[in-house]
Amino acid sequence: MIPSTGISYWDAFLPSIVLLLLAYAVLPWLNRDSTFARTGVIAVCIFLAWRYMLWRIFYTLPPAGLTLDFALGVIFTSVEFLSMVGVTLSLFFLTRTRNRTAEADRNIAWLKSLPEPPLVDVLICTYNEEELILERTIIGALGIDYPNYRLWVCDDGRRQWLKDLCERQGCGYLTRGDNKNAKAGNINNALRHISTLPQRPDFVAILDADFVPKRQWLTRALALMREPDVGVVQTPQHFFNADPIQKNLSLSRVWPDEQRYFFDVVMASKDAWGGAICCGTSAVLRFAPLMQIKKFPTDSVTEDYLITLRLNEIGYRTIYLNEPLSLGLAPEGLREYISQRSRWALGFMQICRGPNGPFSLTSHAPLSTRVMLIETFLYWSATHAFRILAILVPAAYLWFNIQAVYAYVPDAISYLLPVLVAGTYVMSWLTHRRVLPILADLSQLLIATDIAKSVLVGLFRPQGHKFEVTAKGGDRTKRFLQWPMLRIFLFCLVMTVGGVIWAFVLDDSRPVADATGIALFWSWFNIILLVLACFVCIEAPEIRGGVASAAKARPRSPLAAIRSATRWRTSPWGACA
Amino acid sequence: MGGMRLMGDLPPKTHEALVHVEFDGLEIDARLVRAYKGGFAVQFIQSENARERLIRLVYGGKHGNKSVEIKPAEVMGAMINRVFR
Repeated sequence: MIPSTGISYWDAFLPSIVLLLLAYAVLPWLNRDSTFARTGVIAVCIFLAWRYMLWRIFYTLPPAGLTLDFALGVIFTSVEFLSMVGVTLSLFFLTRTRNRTAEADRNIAWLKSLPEPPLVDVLICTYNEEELILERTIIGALGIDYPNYRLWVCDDGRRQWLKDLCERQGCGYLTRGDNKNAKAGNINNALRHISTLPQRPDFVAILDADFVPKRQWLTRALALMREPDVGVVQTPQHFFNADPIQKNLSLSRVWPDEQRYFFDVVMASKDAWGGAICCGTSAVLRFAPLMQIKKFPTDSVTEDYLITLRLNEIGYRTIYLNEPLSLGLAPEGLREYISQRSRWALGFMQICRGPNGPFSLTSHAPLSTRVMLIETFLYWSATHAFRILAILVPAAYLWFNIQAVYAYVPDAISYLLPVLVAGTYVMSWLTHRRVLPILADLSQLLIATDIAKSVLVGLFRPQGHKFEVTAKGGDRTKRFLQWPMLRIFLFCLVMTVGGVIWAFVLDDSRPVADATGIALFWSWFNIILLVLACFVCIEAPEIRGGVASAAKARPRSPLAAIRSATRWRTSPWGACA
Repeated sequence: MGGMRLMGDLPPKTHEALVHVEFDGLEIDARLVRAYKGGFAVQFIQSENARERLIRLVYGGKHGNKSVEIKPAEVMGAMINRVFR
């Protein structure tokens, strides 16, 4: 065992107390949009994080040898190190942020001054969504306030009722004989069709089947196409329903959907570094370069991310307009939520293995793009692997005395606690509290095992996978359990609680050491996470399609926002209010 | 989109009464179906035309899902409440 630095508990807590006071005193006065302020607070975070990481590497590894302690210690520290590299890169990119609203405002005049508004083909991609969802999207898209666009529903489900609906509504309907290459193939089929029309579009706009555009969507996005090297304008995805974490933990009123961190914070920062990405739906793309790269790429199930990289190679940028210009459905169930994220992880790994990967010699991507790819790779791989190990390592110690971390409690407090304090406050400040401890860990834990599978599959067998559509709609009026997932979390919970009972109550042979205290701390943290994860696996019913839902449910519909603007009066036999 | 929840006091004995709702220039017939503390709910009387106008107004218009102001204590409270409920 490496000797302790011998500091007292007071000395161990002191840095964290100072940081806490500083955070309270300084952060509220700093301008969140200032690169200087962001860089300053992030530099403190990165310094503390690496102070901790170096302590972990040089002072807490088990003695070298053919022992389980050493093997697990090396694996755990290596994964934590890679995760820390990823976090550091993420923090580095968060030092900048960009808001293009003013630019879009300015460019509206340019757009309106054009002799003829550019022609846009709006493509609604659908596979198996139900009529209520599609009808809403089609009606919304037909109401876009832009003078020169055509609307096409691209149906990979070959449904007659949808064809009839399109005819009734007066929009185009396209289908094909097979579903080759899933969504990318569906869009490419539409691109093939519109490229043969007498009037080819200047731009194409993509909507998923459940995303209803706002009236001003096209005008706002096209305003940012003024620079000829802009290939894609991505707008954020907002949702009118609660995601499974919000819904199953009854958090809709106090906590936003999980995607808000990505679309409100991360994308704005990526954009500031020139690294915004196309996210599929609610994006507008320039038609000519799209045809130049032979339409949407099909070598990844995340064709949206890949198209940004392919367009980059021929000199076109993706930029981001952070305005709520469309509303869609978040995955309504936990299984769908996880399957969507697993698809993103798999697709990203396919990209990493392909010619646009971060270490590809044939890629012409600039350094910043490559570094962003590495950061995303580490997020999917190391961060989620670390989350799994963080559950297993304390339990392994408590049950089997396998000690992966050799540390004294005062040292651990001295090195780790400042990272937790600074990380919590700085991330909360940078993200308008969209990242909070426990919830951030919970959202990683929920998907960790599936993501680990997708990462391994994507890295070692990148091709030949089906595109799994995120199911939307369906009957969700009953409470039910996601047993396959609940089993895993219950097992981990029993293992952790059992480990604590075994080590502290039943096993008299083991003296209470510093490592036991550290394991106990993390076990309690894990117990909280696992209990919450179990509750997320209990799918709450979602009552739809009637006033019962409006009266009972949380304000998850846009209707909730218009209450104050409403006047009502009863029919002649009722009183007026 | 079947109806909406409105805030305010409901006159007595108006359950199932037909009402006329106006908001943002849209007028639609509805039926009062539920009253609760501080508000009440109406069910829209469905017609294809009304439905289209509602979709355009609500989903395609200026309204959005109100962004939540996050208060960590409330978030923790809600989670604890859920676990012990």
